[in-house]
Amino acid sequence: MARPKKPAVKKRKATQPPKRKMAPPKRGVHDLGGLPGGPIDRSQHAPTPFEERVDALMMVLTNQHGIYKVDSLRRTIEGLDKRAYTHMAYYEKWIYGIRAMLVEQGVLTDAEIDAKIGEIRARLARGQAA
Amino acid sequence: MIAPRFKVGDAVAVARRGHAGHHRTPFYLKGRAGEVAEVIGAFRDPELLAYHKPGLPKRFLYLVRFRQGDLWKSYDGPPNDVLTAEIYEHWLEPPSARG
Repeated sequence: MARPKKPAVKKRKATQPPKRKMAPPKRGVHDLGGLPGGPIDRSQHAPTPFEERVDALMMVLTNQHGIYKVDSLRRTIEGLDKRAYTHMAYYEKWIYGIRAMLVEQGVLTDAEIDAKIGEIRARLARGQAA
Repeated sequence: MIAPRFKVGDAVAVARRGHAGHHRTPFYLKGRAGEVAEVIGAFRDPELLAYHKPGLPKRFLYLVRFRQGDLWKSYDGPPNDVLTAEIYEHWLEPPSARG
Protein backbone atom coordinates (compact mmCIF):
# COMPACT_ATOMS: atom_id res chain seq x y z
CA MET A 1 0.00 0.00 0.00
CA ALA A 2 1.88 3.02 -1.24
CA ARG A 3 1.35 6.30 0.50
CA PRO A 4 0.29 9.25 -1.62
CA LYS A 5 3.42 11.17 -2.36
CA LYS A 6 3.66 14.51 -0.66
CA PRO A 7 4.25 17.51 -2.92
CA ALA A 8 7.91 18.36 -3.07
CA VAL A 9 8.80 21.06 -0.60
CA LYS A 10 11.30 23.55 -1.84
CA LYS A 11 14.29 23.54 0.43
CA ARG A 12 14.56 26.88 2.10
CA LYS A 13 18.10 26.57 3.28
CA ALA A 14 19.71 27.51 -0.01
CA THR A 15 17.83 30.80 -0.20
CA GLN A 16 18.70 31.85 3.32
CA PRO A 17 21.77 33.87 4.17
CA PRO A 18 24.65 31.86 5.60
CA LYS A 19 24.42 31.34 9.31
CA ARG A 20 26.03 33.96 11.46
CA LYS A 21 28.64 32.55 13.72
CA MET A 22 26.77 33.66 16.84
CA ALA A 23 23.15 33.24 15.82
CA PRO A 24 20.70 34.39 18.48
CA PRO A 25 19.14 31.58 20.47
CA LYS A 26 15.87 30.15 19.22
CA ARG A 27 13.59 28.02 21.31
CA GLY A 28 13.20 24.49 19.92
CA VAL A 29 9.78 22.89 19.77
CA HIS A 30 10.71 20.61 22.68
CA ASP A 31 12.38 23.30 24.78
CA LEU A 32 9.49 24.28 27.01
CA GLY A 33 11.24 25.20 30.26
CA GLY A 34 9.84 28.39 31.78
CA LEU A 35 6.80 28.64 29.51
CA PRO A 36 3.36 28.75 31.10
CA GLY A 37 2.09 25.19 30.86
CA GLY A 38 -1.16 25.21 32.77
CA PRO A 39 -2.11 22.50 35.24
CA ILE A 40 -0.31 19.14 35.00
CA ASP A 41 -2.41 16.10 34.14
CA ARG A 42 -1.27 13.61 36.77
CA SER A 43 -3.65 10.83 35.82
CA GLN A 44 -2.05 7.43 35.19
CA HIS A 45 -2.96 4.43 33.09
CA ALA A 46 -1.72 0.87 32.83
CA PRO A 47 0.73 0.54 29.92
CA THR A 48 -1.03 -0.52 26.74
CA PRO A 49 0.36 -3.39 24.62
CA PHE A 50 1.49 -0.78 22.07
CA GLU A 51 3.41 1.18 24.71
CA GLU A 52 5.06 -1.98 26.07
CA ARG A 53 6.08 -3.10 22.59
CA VAL A 54 7.59 0.26 21.73
CA ASP A 55 9.50 0.29 25.01
CA ALA A 56 10.79 -3.24 24.41
CA LEU A 57 11.80 -2.42 20.84
CA MET A 58 13.72 0.61 22.05
CA MET A 59 15.57 -1.43 24.68
CA VAL A 60 16.56 -4.09 22.13
CA LEU A 61 17.74 -1.53 19.58
CA THR A 62 19.67 0.42 22.20
CA ASN A 63 21.23 -2.28 24.33
CA GLN A 64 21.67 -5.22 21.97
CA HIS A 65 22.13 -3.62 18.60
CA GLY A 66 23.47 -0.16 19.39
CA ILE A 67 21.22 1.31 16.69
CA TYR A 68 20.16 3.98 19.07
CA LYS A 69 21.67 6.35 21.53
CA VAL A 70 19.52 8.46 23.79
CA ASP A 71 20.95 11.53 22.06
CA SER A 72 19.91 10.42 18.60
CA LEU A 73 16.44 9.55 19.88
CA ARG A 74 16.18 13.05 21.31
CA ARG A 75 17.45 14.52 18.05
CA THR A 76 14.82 12.79 15.93
CA ILE A 77 12.01 13.80 18.28
CA GLU A 78 13.26 17.39 18.49
CA GLY A 79 13.07 17.47 14.69
CA LEU A 80 9.29 17.03 14.71
CA ASP A 81 7.28 20.03 13.60
CA LYS A 82 5.34 21.87 16.27
CA ARG A 83 1.97 20.36 15.40
CA ALA A 84 3.28 16.80 15.44
CA TYR A 85 5.27 17.39 18.61
CA THR A 86 2.24 18.79 20.41
CA HIS A 87 -0.20 16.11 19.32
CA MET A 88 1.83 12.90 19.42
CA ALA A 89 1.74 10.85 22.60
CA TYR A 90 4.98 9.93 24.36
CA TYR A 91 5.38 6.49 22.79
CA GLU A 92 4.16 7.73 19.42
CA LYS A 93 7.17 10.04 19.45
CA TRP A 94 9.37 7.05 20.30
CA ILE A 95 8.09 4.89 17.46
CA TYR A 96 8.49 7.83 15.11
CA GLY A 97 12.08 8.18 16.30
CA ILE A 98 12.71 4.42 16.01
CA ARG A 99 11.48 4.44 12.43
CA ALA A 100 13.60 7.46 11.52
CA MET A 101 16.68 5.82 13.07
CA LEU A 102 16.18 2.42 11.40
CA VAL A 103 15.92 4.13 8.00
CA GLU A 104 18.81 6.50 8.69
CA GLN A 105 21.04 3.61 9.79
CA GLY A 106 20.15 1.54 6.74
CA VAL A 107 18.51 -1.27 8.73
CA LEU A 108 15.16 -0.93 6.93
CA THR A 109 13.89 1.24 4.11
CA ASP A 110 10.74 3.36 4.16
CA ALA A 111 9.36 1.13 1.39
CA GLU A 112 9.90 -2.01 3.48
CA ILE A 113 8.24 -0.47 6.54
CA ASP A 114 5.30 0.86 4.50
CA ALA A 115 4.84 -2.51 2.80
CA LYS A 116 4.73 -4.28 6.18
CA ILE A 117 2.29 -1.74 7.61
CA GLY A 118 0.08 -2.26 4.56
CA GLU A 119 0.25 -6.01 4.99
CA ILE A 120 -0.77 -5.85 8.65
CA ARG A 121 -3.55 -3.33 7.98
CA ALA A 122 -4.97 -5.62 5.31
CA ARG A 123 -4.82 -8.58 7.67
CA LEU A 124 -6.58 -6.64 10.42
CA ALA A 125 -9.21 -5.47 7.93
CA ARG A 126 -9.93 -9.10 7.14
CA GLY A 127 -10.63 -9.58 10.84
CA GLN A 128 -7.69 -11.81 11.65
CA ALA A 129 -5.53 -11.44 14.68
CA ALA A 130 -2.24 -9.61 14.18
CA MET B 1 42.92 14.23 30.14
CA ILE B 2 42.63 18.00 30.01
CA ALA B 3 41.65 19.95 33.11
CA PRO B 4 38.28 21.62 33.61
CA ARG B 5 38.21 25.33 32.79
CA PHE B 6 36.08 26.27 35.81
CA LYS B 7 36.12 25.25 39.45
CA VAL B 8 33.47 25.12 42.18
CA GLY B 9 32.41 28.63 43.15
CA ASP B 10 33.45 30.27 39.87
CA ALA B 11 31.01 32.82 38.47
CA VAL B 12 29.92 31.79 34.99
CA ALA B 13 27.37 32.79 32.37
CA VAL B 14 25.61 30.53 29.92
CA ALA B 15 26.46 31.47 26.33
CA ARG B 16 23.66 33.34 24.62
CA ARG B 17 23.83 31.66 21.23
CA GLY B 18 21.67 29.59 18.96
CA HIS B 19 22.44 26.03 17.93
CA ALA B 20 20.52 24.39 15.12
CA GLY B 21 21.06 20.77 16.13
CA HIS B 22 20.62 18.67 19.24
CA HIS B 23 22.03 20.28 22.36
CA ARG B 24 21.32 20.13 26.03
CA THR B 25 21.37 23.76 27.05
CA PRO B 26 17.81 24.93 27.78
CA PHE B 27 16.61 28.16 26.22
CA TYR B 28 15.59 29.68 29.54
CA LEU B 29 19.19 29.56 30.82
CA LYS B 30 20.93 31.04 27.79
CA GLY B 31 22.56 34.32 28.73
CA ARG B 32 21.95 33.79 32.46
CA ALA B 33 24.60 34.15 35.15
CA GLY B 34 25.25 31.59 37.85
CA GLU B 35 28.04 29.86 39.70
CA VAL B 36 29.63 26.44 39.47
CA ALA B 37 28.20 24.14 42.13
CA GLU B 38 29.98 20.96 41.05
CA VAL B 39 32.38 19.72 38.39
CA ILE B 40 30.61 16.48 37.47
CA GLY B 41 33.15 15.04 35.08
CA ALA B 42 34.03 14.70 31.39
CA PHE B 43 31.62 12.98 29.03
CA ARG B 44 31.28 12.28 25.33
CA ASP B 45 29.64 15.23 23.60
CA PRO B 46 25.89 14.62 23.12
CA GLU B 47 25.84 17.21 20.31
CA LEU B 48 27.98 14.77 18.30
CA LEU B 49 26.64 11.47 19.69
CA ALA B 50 23.20 12.50 18.41
CA TYR B 51 24.59 12.25 14.86
CA HIS B 52 26.37 8.90 15.35
CA LYS B 53 29.77 10.51 15.88
CA PRO B 54 32.10 9.20 18.61
CA GLY B 55 31.49 12.37 20.63
CA LEU B 56 35.13 13.26 21.13
CA PRO B 57 36.77 15.24 22.55
CA LYS B 58 34.96 14.72 25.81
CA ARG B 59 33.42 17.81 27.36
CA PHE B 60 33.36 18.73 31.01
CA LEU B 61 29.89 18.83 32.52
CA TYR B 62 29.10 21.17 35.40
CA LEU B 63 26.29 21.55 37.83
CA VAL B 64 25.57 25.29 37.70
CA ARG B 65 23.58 27.09 40.36
CA PHE B 66 21.29 29.99 39.43
CA ARG B 67 19.28 32.26 41.69
CA GLN B 68 15.59 31.77 40.96
CA GLY B 69 15.10 35.52 41.24
CA ASP B 70 17.61 35.99 38.41
CA LEU B 71 15.70 33.63 36.12
CA TRP B 72 12.08 34.67 36.53
CA LYS B 73 10.97 38.30 36.47
CA SER B 74 7.97 37.74 38.72
CA TYR B 75 9.62 35.28 41.11
CA ASP B 76 8.22 35.96 44.58
CA GLY B 77 9.79 33.12 46.57
CA PRO B 78 12.58 33.51 49.14
CA PRO B 79 15.62 35.34 47.71
CA ASN B 80 17.96 32.42 48.46
CA ASP B 81 15.97 29.96 46.31
CA VAL B 82 18.20 28.38 43.67
CA LEU B 83 17.91 26.20 40.59
CA THR B 84 20.70 23.89 39.47
CA ALA B 85 21.19 22.59 35.94
CA GLU B 86 23.79 20.49 34.15
CA ILE B 87 25.63 22.57 31.55
CA TYR B 88 28.53 21.49 29.33
CA GLU B 89 31.70 23.54 29.44
CA HIS B 90 31.51 24.84 25.87
CA TRP B 91 28.25 26.57 26.81
CA LEU B 92 29.84 28.41 29.74
CA GLU B 93 31.79 31.66 29.72
CA PRO B 94 33.36 33.89 32.34
CA PRO B 95 30.64 36.41 33.26
CA SER B 96 32.63 39.35 31.81
CA ALA B 97 32.40 37.76 28.35
CA ARG B 98 28.61 38.05 28.25
CA GLY B 99 27.33 39.50 25.03
